[in-house]
Amino acid sequence: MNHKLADTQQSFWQLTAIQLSGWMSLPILATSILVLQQNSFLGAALTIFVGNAILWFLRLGIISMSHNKRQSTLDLAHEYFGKAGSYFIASLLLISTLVWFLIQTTAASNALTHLITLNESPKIDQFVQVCVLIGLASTFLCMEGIVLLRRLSMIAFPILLVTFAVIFLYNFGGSHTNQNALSLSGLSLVLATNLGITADMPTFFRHSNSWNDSIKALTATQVISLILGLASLYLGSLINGMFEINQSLLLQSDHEILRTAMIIFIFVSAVTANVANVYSASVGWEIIAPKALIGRQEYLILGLGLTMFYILFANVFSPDAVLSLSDNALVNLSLVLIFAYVLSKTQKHPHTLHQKATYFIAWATATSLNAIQQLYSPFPALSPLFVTLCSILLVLALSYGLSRLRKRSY
Amino acid sequence: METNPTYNSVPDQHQNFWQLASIQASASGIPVIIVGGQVAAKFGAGVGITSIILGNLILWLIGTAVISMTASGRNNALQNINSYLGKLGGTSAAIFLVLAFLSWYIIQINSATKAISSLVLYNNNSLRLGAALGAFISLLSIGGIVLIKKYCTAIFPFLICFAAYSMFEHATNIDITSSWGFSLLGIFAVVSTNLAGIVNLPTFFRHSRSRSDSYLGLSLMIIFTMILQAYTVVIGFNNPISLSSDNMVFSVFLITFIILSLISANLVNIYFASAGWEMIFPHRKSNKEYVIIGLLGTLAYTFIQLTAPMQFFLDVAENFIASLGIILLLSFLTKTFEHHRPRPYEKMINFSCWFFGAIIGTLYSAKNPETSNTLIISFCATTLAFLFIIYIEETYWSAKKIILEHKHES
Repeated sequence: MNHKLADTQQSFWQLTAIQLSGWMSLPILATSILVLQQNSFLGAALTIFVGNAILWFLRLGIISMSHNKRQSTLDLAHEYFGKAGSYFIASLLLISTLVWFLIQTTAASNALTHLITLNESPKIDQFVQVCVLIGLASTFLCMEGIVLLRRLSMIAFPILLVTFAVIFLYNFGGSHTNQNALSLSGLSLVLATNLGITADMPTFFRHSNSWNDSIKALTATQVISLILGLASLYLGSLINGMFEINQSLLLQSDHEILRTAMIIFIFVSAVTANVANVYSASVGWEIIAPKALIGRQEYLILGLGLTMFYILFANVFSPDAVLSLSDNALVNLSLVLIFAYVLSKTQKHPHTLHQKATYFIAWATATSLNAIQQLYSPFPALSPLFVTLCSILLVLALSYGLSRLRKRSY
Repeated sequence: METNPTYNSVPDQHQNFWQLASIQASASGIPVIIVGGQVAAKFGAGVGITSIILGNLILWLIGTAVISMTASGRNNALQNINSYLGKLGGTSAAIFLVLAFLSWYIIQINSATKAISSLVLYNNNSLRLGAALGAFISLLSIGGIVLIKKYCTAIFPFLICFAAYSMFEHATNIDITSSWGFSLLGIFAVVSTNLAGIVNLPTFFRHSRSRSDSYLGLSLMIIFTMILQAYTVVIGFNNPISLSSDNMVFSVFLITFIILSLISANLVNIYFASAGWEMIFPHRKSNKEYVIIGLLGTLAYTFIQLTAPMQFFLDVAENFIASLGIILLLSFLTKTFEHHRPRPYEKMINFSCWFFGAIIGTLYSAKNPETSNTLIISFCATTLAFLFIIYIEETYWSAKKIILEHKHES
């Protein structure tokens, strides 16, 4: 599946810039604030620290799986889940990208519509105008795939860091203390939010110059995102819920520098996140789409398709449920791949059909349980991550037991 | 005539007369076909019909000349202009063409979304609908001329059948006999609406299989355009927002007609503008250029709309392109009979007359913003300037020759 991979000489700094500028968007930064809502400030900081340490370890596993053969996420899915399984994962990647594109860009458009004032006829829908601007800018920049994404990230990342620093400095004095007890509660939230992205990492890290670069990039990514996560704890007065900017605060604020920094940060982060999303989804597209629509133009087709969908449906319906389910499915994918990799280290022969079926069933069971939990909430006290872990381990254990029994009967 | 150096690189050189005619006729779009209804509303149905016939015959004559200029070299419109007006003329024309493209793109989407909104009484989301349609058309444009040919050939029978059906089904009680007559303004309205398209015909007709296919294609295109324009006279359609129908099925077909016609019109507009792109960026030719042009058009539609200063600016571009049509026709005719003397300053003279006429028209339009005579003024100024220079040239050359002969004899 690894056909003529372009741009395979990326340095650790380029890999880091792509990862971080692709992630530094409102929903990801909002995770810290959500953790703070159920924890003390110190506890939230500790949770973010522990969460990032665990993530670094899991990501190291995922990257090492794919490094030798420069495999994408979908190549891994094909290797571990078989051909049929890879179709499901391809669909999952596309659905996840679609929903993230919709949610991330809608959040950015809503915020920018309030931040930017255009002197136009009140009949003109400025939200749609901003939607189109972000969508088309993303489409323009996703045209050349990974090469343009690398260049874009190298420019966008410093801009994002500077604007984030400005936003942080303006909000540093804000209230961030609460009466919650110190704990590690919220750890599952940190893991769940970031593990979804983890599943996509092989697609980007296959462009690494060397294993050394990959390790350095992963470590740098994790350290910087830890710092950003901790700094985001101070943005509670600015960000509401998961995807919204506190507009009343901004409207009241007479700080033009803060307003400008917010506009640049939101616009650049939305566009880079969309371009990275499109590249990540392109590996899924290559599996599902007809051959005529694959090749150098696939990024353009994907980007424009997503933009069109987004222009038509932004703010029309809420895809939160689909987002939650697709994120859970991606988390499950990461976990199953890591377990499968660990198990594969104990054997020398390639994966058998039985094993591939087991891994796929483990993923499908965990995802189905997440869906049931989301729809009917039979066990509201259990976190989706816990349910996922239990179900995956159960399926793997059952499969292992069955195979031992079969061997014995032979 | 200069030959196109990329003669063999022109794709799809085997289009027959039917395909050529289908592309041009189905790309008429609402603004071109509605002109029949508008002239009829102003001067009566009889004058509307005669204006359509005479106006289109004039366009046919100009089209024949334009096609003859380029038939041997398979040049696009701007390469043709280059060979008659020089490099400066070609570059200026490229800029005006791109500006005019933006106006056509906006006008087409605007009139289509207005018509759809008036049919379904859904005005709130016309910007969203227009932007999504613009993005969709940009996506389709990636298929280049081959897709345009297939699309237009496929939809054209539907367009013409629907027009014929609704002409009989929804004919208003029009009285042709009492309003029978001629109107210079009516004829100019018909000519001016489509003149820019005729000037740009070489961009499409370079794909023709043979000269005879080109001429037959042009004749059929003119007939089909007349039918579509007459259709608006018969059903009394003179404003996109005046459309309404109680018949649900008819409304659905009418909306389909409008959308299909909009898509073909803007696909053709993008391909027209690509000649300008190729002139400005000669080494960046690929199908992506069409998408970029389409996305720029969509952005222009979303942000610029048709505000008064923008409308004036775009009128100027159209004025320049229309004058260009006249100068091309005049210089072609001059070239066919002026074989007895050299014309060393031909390109410079053509260029100067074009600019002179267009600037006179623009100044007139600036002084009389409400006027509809701008094009007549431009045409007359261009023609007068050209004839005056030819008169001087011819007289000077003949007088000089006689004096020289006398000197030689003595």
